Amino acid sequence: MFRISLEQPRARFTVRVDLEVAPGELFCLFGPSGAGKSTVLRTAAGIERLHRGRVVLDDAVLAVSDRQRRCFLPVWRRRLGYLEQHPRLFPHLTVEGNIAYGLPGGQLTKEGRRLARELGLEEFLGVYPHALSGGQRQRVALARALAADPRALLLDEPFSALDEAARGELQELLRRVQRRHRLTALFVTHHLAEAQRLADRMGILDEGRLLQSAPPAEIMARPATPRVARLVGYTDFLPGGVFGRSGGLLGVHPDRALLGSFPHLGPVAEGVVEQRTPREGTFRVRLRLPGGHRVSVASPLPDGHGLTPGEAAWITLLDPPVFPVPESAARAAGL
Amino acid sequence: MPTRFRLSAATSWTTEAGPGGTPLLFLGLLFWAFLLLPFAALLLHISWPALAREFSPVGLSPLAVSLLATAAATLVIVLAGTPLAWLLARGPGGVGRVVEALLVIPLLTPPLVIGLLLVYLYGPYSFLGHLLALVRVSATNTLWAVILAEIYEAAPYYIFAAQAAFSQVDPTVEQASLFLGVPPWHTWRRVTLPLAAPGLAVALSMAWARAIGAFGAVIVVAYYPHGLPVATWVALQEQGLPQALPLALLLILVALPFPLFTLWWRWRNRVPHQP
Repeated sequence: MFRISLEQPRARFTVRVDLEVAPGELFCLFGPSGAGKSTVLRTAAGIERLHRGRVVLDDAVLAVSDRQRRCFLPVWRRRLGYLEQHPRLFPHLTVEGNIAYGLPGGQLTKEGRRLARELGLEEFLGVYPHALSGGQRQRVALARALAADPRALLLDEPFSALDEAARGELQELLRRVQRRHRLTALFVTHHLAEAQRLADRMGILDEGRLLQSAPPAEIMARPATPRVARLVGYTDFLPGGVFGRSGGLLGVHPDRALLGSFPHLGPVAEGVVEQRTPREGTFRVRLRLPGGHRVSVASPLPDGHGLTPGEAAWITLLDPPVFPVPESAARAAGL
Repeated sequence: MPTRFRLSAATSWTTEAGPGGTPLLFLGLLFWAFLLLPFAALLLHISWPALAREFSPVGLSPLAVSLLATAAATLVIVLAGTPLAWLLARGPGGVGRVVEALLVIPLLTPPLVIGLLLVYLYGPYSFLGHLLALVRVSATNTLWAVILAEIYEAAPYYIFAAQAAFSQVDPTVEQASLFLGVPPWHTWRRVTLPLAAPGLAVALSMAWARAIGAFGAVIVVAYYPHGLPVATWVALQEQGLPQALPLALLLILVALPFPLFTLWWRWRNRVPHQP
């Protein structure tokens, strides 16, 4: 069990986080840039000094700082694998030298070779890092971290600098390797899709506060607050009355709504198409609903299938989250 | 009629990566001529039998003094200067800037003045001179004095060049080593040192060249025993240019190979840039 409980002052706010990562679990800390995600990770890793709190991994206290005690286990005694956006390979060593670096004697063991094979690096063992692609370098960094037999993996947006194809491939690889080795992992990202794809559980961090921790599907379906909903992609919040419901605000996620009337799937409303704009291979349709409310929905329908501005259209929200927030308060909060 | 395109004069010497080889060759030859022609003149005017005489047991004395003193001075500079250079590159900025400023002083002070200051500090009538005399060491007109003066003249060059070499090592790569369970000293040995080595080689060759050619400070604190620079000066003063030239050539012959070797080694062991 990886327990992180900390208070780290930042320029604009203090990061206050309590989280637990179960053994063998991959926990994704998701939030916008500047939310304090990397602060949590860097403090857990020992790169930043813990201001207040405790970092405990299984039975080992890595850092504790309170009124009575201040003690920190140095980075090289923590046995944590740490990966960041840039792989930071040793440029003067070959791939083999890099992977074997943390092993006794600096020699690649049978297990190390198996790891290299598992990560598709066997043919590159004699190559220097400068001759590798970004994705290959990140694989080497992962192999190097795993070969040192870490007690937990800390990953700070390790795939952010990669193109979409390489990122997807490495996400797959990481998930496979992490499961096989039953590694406890804390992964920081601001890519929602990455967090959803990788996480057993994810935590939503905003301005230094952990707003919600749950499996990704649960967070998507039942965000704890409108702010969490906004952070995971809900774009509009409409009064229940618009959809014939009483009270509360309904969260609308463009990918969790259908154009058309399907009352058995969720609340339905009729509106008028205002705008239709291309977006990542599909379209985003903007509807004006009764009361002047506006809502966006994803639609894969190509040109020539209706949905031109001025046409009437139905929208069905798929099991939308309901927030018991008065409409006036929501408007005041910019929701 | 088809349109013909012609490269303009401006594009004829440029490539996508930057300027081509022609300007480099032109400027290189210009500087080469300016810097190396005096050496050609030296070779034309030298008396070869006189050079042979310098290798006689008597003539070898300045050579031995120079080599011994420079080897000792370089060793001291490397042993004491390397940790200092590393601390300057990695240590706290405030203290580092103060130490840097202090190191610049001997760098900017004329060597002759350094020699005068050393006599005041270590001379036979100074406090330190008295203390050294108690252990039968004299810091004037001895081999120790030559070593001391060479250290004063060459150390700042080594330290600043070594600091630049350490600054070029990415601290996050060192951090990656710590995360793999390798303690700081071993990280320094296995990562920092190999990555800084090409720059340290340049620093070392600069220190060697400065130390073996040290003259201003040396002639004040240690007229005896003659090293090669002082012996050249004495020959020039007492016997004239033809007698000084063989010693000058000898000085060049012993000063150059080590820096040239380190430059070659640096080129052989350069670490490829990692994007």
